[in-house]
Amino acid sequence: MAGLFEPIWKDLSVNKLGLVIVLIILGLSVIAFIGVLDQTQKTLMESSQRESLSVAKTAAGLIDGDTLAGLKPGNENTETYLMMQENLRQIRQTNRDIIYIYTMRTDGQNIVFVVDPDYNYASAVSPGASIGQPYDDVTTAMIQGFSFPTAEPGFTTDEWGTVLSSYAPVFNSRGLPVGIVGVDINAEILAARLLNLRLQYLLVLLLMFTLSVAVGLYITSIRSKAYNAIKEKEEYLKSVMQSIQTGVLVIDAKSHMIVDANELSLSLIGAPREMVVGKICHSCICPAEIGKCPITDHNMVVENAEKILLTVNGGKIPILKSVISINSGGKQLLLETFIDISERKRMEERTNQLVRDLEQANNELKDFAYIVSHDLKAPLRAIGSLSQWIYADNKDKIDEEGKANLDLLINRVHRMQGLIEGILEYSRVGRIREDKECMDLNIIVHDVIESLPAPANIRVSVDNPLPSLLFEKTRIHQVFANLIGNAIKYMDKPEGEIHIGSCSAGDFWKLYVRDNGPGIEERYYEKIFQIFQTLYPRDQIESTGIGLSIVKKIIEMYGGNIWVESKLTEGSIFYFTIPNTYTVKGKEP
Amino acid sequence: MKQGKPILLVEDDVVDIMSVKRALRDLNIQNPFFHKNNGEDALEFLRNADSPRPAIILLDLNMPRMNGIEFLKHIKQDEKLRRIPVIILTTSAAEPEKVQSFDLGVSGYMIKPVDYMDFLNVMRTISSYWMTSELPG
Repeated sequence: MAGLFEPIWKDLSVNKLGLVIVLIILGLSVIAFIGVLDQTQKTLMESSQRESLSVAKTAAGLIDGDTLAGLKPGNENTETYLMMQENLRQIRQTNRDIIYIYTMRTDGQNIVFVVDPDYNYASAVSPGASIGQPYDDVTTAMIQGFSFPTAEPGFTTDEWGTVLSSYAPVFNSRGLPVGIVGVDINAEILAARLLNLRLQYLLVLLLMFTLSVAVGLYITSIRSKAYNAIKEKEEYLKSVMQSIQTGVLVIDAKSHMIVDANELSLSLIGAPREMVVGKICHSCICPAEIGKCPITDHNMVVENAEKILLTVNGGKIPILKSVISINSGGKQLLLETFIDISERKRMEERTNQLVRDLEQANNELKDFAYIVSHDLKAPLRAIGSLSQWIYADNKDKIDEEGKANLDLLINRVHRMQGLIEGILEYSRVGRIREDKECMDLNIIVHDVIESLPAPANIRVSVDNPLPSLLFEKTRIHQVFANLIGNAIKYMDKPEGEIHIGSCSAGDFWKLYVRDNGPGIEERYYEKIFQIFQTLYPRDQIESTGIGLSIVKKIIEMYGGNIWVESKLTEGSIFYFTIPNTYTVKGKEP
Repeated sequence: MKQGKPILLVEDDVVDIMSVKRALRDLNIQNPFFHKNNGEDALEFLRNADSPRPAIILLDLNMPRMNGIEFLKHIKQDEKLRRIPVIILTTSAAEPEKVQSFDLGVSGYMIKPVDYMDFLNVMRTISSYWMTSELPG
């Protein structure tokens, strides 16, 4: 599922990112360093120039121009000269940056020294110059210095070393410039100060660099941790998504474009990811719903709906699909999950086919039972009639034994007739349906007792009022006629007692027909309800063995149950239940 | 039955024909007796000007070519034949067939009993009923 979980910054690896951050910080630091250093250097120069200029101006003000002009070479030991030397030295001491301070004038051709405090001075920094000693390396600024205070724009180098010089004019009593005072700032001190500054900035830079590296590393580690955590989550989601045994398609709700597909859905569609992702969803799923998507067009819910998945070969796979609308990063997505139900569909189809076959077979069987028994009747009647005629037409020729045999033959014809009628009756239950009517069982039971000729020694009584049920009249009649009829038919006691009653039992009515007849052995409890099953030889008690099977079929058709409880020689109770949904409201006993 | 009036039996089963003939003999009914094997033959007989017009028709339902119900539909639409009383004599006790028969105006519906003695009783009942009942000319 790379598409879904692709982090936007994945291409930029974590380490590279850290490095970039460090480099950016470093670059900015270097630029700032150079800028600041340059500025500082300038400021330092300017302030030195300003200082030396102001010292030069102050000194020029203090020097008497007439005296300066009056000093001649060889006057070096005069009091005036020595005092001026002393004054200049004092001025120099006010600023430790100043290395030289001196006076100069022109002698028509050259610029020459006048008073130099270092000349003939014991603790001088240089040998100094005597009055009239010419200066060779004259600069424009120096010449300008005779008119107004001027600073050298940069360092100058001469036989005394490299310095930053300023000059100021010295005027005589008439206000005419007669010389200059030069002040030299020691370049070495400035250089040392600059170096010091550079070192300080370098230190700051180093500190910043270290800090940025540390920050970079820290960020990297945090990001890497977060990245790993996300990657782990992504792996987890990916593996869940890919190994889940449900087809998953992620669709953009707006464009209906497939954004993602998991392995199972791809294998069902039968196409690689590239052929599926980016396609319109209807080309793979729900082809019939273009423009009428239940989710986006009809605002409906799709949950466990049977839909169609199209395979790449044009096949159709029936699927059971659920769709959830999700919001991911401001995009509305449809998360479609589905399972292949081809197998289930095939099974369903097979089951349906089986049910159809079964229904057909059942119908054929019903018709068969009816047709066969119906068609058997005609030849049976012929056999009966013919045997009677044979006997009637040949009375004098047939002896007693022959007559007895013919009687047996006719008797068997009657029995077969009974069986055929039984089958017909049995097949009619459920095949021929009457309308259900409100049946007052008290009346039905009364009618049944009336219609059955019970011998004088048998008393039939109803124990309590019976319910009224919605029932087919013929069927409810058959139920009681068979149960009460059997009780009368098999009664073996001189004083027969037959009781009919009912009670409510949960969701059912429970009814019973109880007798004090011969009773039934427990092993026959099931057998007596099977078709054609009798417990006595037919020559003893004529029975088709159909009655109870018809009763059972009727009761079960109504959703009830029938069973017997009995004690041999003491009697039997036949119970049956009918769901009380068949109760007629307002007619409960 | 009405003296001298012919009886028409429409029936395909030989033994059933014998049963009717024998019953008529046993009950000493002397009316002329005609028998046809199916509905088609019976219709042809009835529509033949030379044939005597029966006073009563005994009709089986299950027959080849034209069965009893089809035969009934034909004669009930025939102005000349529709008033001849028809009694169904059949094996089938099925409700739909009874309903269909009476809807087509039959006068009686008898089920052929297995026992000949019972059959004799059925024939006796038919006979005595039609001996007393008035019939259209």
